[in-house]
Amino acid sequence: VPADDLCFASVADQAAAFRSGAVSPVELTEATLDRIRRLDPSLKAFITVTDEQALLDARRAEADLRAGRDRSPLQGVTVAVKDQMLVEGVRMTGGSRVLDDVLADRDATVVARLRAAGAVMIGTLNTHEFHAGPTRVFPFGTPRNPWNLDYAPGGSSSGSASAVAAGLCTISLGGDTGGSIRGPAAHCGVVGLKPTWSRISRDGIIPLAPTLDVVGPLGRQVDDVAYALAAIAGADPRDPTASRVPVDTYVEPVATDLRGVRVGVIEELMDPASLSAETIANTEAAIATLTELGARVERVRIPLLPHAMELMWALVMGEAIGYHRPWLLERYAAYDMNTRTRLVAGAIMPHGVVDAAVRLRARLAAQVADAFRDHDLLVSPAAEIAPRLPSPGAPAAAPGGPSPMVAPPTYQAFNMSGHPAISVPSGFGREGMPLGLQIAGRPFDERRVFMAARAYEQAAPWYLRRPTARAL
Amino acid sequence: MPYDESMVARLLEAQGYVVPASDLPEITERVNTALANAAKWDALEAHRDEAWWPFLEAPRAG
Repeated sequence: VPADDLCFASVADQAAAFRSGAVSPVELTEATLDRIRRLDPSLKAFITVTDEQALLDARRAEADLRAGRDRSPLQGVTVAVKDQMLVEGVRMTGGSRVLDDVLADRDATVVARLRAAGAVMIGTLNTHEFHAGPTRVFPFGTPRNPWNLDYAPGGSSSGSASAVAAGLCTISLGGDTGGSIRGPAAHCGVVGLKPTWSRISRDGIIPLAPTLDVVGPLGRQVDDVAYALAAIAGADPRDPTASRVPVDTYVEPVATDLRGVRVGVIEELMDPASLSAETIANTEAAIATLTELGARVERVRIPLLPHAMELMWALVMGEAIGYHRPWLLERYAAYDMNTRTRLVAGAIMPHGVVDAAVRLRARLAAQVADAFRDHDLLVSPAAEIAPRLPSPGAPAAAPGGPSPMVAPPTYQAFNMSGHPAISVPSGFGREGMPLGLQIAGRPFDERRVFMAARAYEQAAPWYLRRPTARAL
Repeated sequence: MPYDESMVARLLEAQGYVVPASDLPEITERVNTALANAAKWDALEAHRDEAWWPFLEAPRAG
């Protein structure tokens, strides 16, 4: 198997190749590290590459498989995590100079679970600073989009999406408070899941807004993400907010059609006032595919959804300041300007603002739940195409100005309500940049979200295309 | 009522933050945007009785 093809193979294909002896986990890891050495100087997907540990992990996976110790489909598969999660022995930066000397003394629960599944930990991934909105100056290099290096990969889980898209790991983990998994996944042409709030432990993870934050997996294909969720989901004594709802099997059942599935298309997110005609047309085409697969498609309204983004920012500012206050008092200037001005604005926000946001959030969440009363799934565009990066030397982006991270109003309602939502590749827009379809489901019904995303992916296999940036 | 930069500076100083003057316009804009939004939300928020949080133990139907 050519090394590059191996790096783009699915979890199922890699697992089969390891078990047949056609390829070894060490060969995959070496091929992956070689791609990182060649490509990451342009992409800046990684903050730390743990190459020595990765080779040790790979040798252990290989020895275990030879000895018949089959741990999971992720055994020997390469994974990397957003640099907001503890990885033992590795510095955790949060994408910030504030933490550049912090060495993790243990693994976050999700990292420990990936290791227990036999995965090979390749490193930590670049992120907007503390996942707190657009960063102006990236201390570990500006992350770039593997489809075109002049474009951003989106954020805040920038490296989590670009590394998977460029074949620099098979699975990654990101974090999503208001679209930070689904946005970069859509921009980079990969699959990204924001699971149900509380589905995955957040132990050992830098928080932003705890009532909104989730951890979730990204991969090139739906099943890759499903395997990863199965490995990391579930209750955790270290995180009392992690749900005890039993973990499903997510890779089965394989549905070839969507007969009987009731799909609601969110009216507010098909509005030309909110999203471009190109993006809406792309989603209409994806909806036509769902209809051809047998889904019963109707329009549905969530009237408060257009306010979800402003609610999200008020809640983030209200929730984030407590965690950051000690560092802001000591190292204010070490923060990026965008981050620190947002955080300290939260410190002086009148109480009534957050109170009003909490109350309206409850109303919005109830509207989302109402939209699921007659529908199994809700769909919408995931994002516009990725934003173009500012030219080198251009003035730093001001609030509301050009930014390496754009958040259309597509995501935040599901952070407000806690429902699971996935972004799955739905084709390409201008200049060949990827677009994504968002599919949301009922709480803890990730299984049905995967089923629909998988059926769509099989009917519209956009994942077969590989990134085309010159440097790749 | 919107905040002005001197008010923002006083409030931050009272909490112990040492903030350069160059950051004040941006902080002020962020607070005032949130204040304007909150005034809008109060008008939108008609129902306050929905019980929805959290759904830690069981899937919520619909």
